[in-house]
Amino acid sequence: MPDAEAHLLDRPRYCPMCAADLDEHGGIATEYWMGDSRVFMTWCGDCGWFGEVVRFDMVTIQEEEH
Amino acid sequence: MLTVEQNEELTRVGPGTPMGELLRRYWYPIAFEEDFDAVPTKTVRLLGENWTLFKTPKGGRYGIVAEACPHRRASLTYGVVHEDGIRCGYHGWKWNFEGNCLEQPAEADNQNFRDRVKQKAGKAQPMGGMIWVYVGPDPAPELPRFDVFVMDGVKDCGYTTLPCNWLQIMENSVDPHHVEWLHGQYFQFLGETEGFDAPKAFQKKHMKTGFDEMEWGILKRRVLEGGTEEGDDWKIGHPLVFPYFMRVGGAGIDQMQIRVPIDDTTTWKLFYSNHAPEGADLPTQDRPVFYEYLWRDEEGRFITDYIEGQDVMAWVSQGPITDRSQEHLGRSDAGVAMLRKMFKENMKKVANGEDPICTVREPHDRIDLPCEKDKFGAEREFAEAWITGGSMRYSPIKQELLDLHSNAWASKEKAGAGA
Repeated sequence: MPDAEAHLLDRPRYCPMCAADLDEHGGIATEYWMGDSRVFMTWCGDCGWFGEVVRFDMVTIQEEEH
Repeated sequence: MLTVEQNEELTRVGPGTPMGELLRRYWYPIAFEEDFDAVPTKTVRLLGENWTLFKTPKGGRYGIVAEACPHRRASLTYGVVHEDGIRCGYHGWKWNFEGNCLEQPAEADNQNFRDRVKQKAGKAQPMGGMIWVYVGPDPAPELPRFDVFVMDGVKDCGYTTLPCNWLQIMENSVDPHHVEWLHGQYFQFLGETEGFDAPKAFQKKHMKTGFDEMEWGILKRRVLEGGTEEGDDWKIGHPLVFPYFMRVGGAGIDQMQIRVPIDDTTTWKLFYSNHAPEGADLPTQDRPVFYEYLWRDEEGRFITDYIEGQDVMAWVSQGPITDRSQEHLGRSDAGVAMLRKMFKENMKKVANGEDPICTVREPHDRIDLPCEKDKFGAEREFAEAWITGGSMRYSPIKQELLDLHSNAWASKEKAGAGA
């Protein structure tokens, strides 16, 4: 699936804090990639929450030296 | 990555658009004082609209009105300038600084008609050798007197008009990594290919970058290879000044990089520098020196053997408006995502009837912005690299600027040796 289409399908619709509709309240979610994860830097136009919503298929843990 | 709709919202600057409404809350430089030495009027374009900028013959007061006369839409730029406004050259309708109609010579004296027709008008003021305009709603804010425009020193300003949207240029300012690649590795590669020495100052790797939201926008910080968090690049940093400047500095040079949104696909791009190295004997200057810098050669290729030419290539080659629905951002683009959020946040403020960030309502003399002095740890050679390797290489006073810095360092060293 083209990445632009995947973005349309997978971007957050609602604020994780107040559940406001992001589009309706002037919010924004910018997608960037980090490793295998797709990160949506999200701002809610209703409550002002600003943070990252991360979509991943597998939880991976980078083991520290031990 | 954004949706097509979000990209449209962030990039369209015309009247009635959300971004256009936000951007109309700010003052913009749009012409030079010297433009009015020979003629009293000039057509300028700003935020997708054409305007007539004029200067009164005796009082030297500046005004700005929409270019098309409300009568039959002829250009007011070819009108008669009076001390109280401008008169259309076509049928003599006269407009004051507020856009009120004072006279309609060919009509019967009809106050009702005059009161019903109004011309769009803004405010205009000189500062730092440029004419600044505000075309938003009343009450107009104060014109911010940012330090670079009012501090003592030798002022030098390169300008050009770029065929691209202003936002993709602003995003460059919160993208620190491009420095080591575009101005470092690519510059080095070009030097090896074409047989010149690229400046080494920009080749250092980034070890850490940071972004802080602050009262004037976003403060950008970096730790480069060999540096620490005690260095200016991290401890002080420099700001992206919302919504269309970046402030940089180092080695006795302070600069505002200005990106005026002319319309959706055109930006007036200026590098306005003030040179005041420590210990310098500063000459008197009537006005800043303004000159055009080049970014395409005779064959239409981008000129990329200097810093700003490389940036221009990166901005303009993205297209007239970057299609952000097709981009692939990484973690290193976090600053870019932060800037987009800041624009959305302030669009919302304006929609709610509030002042956006960087609105100045209090009269003041000068606004000092945080900015590193020791940039990239390069000290003395940085000023020479900046002048010869940047847009200042096109300056008619390039040699004078080099001598100014060189003599200042020599004085400093002599004073140090004598101590």
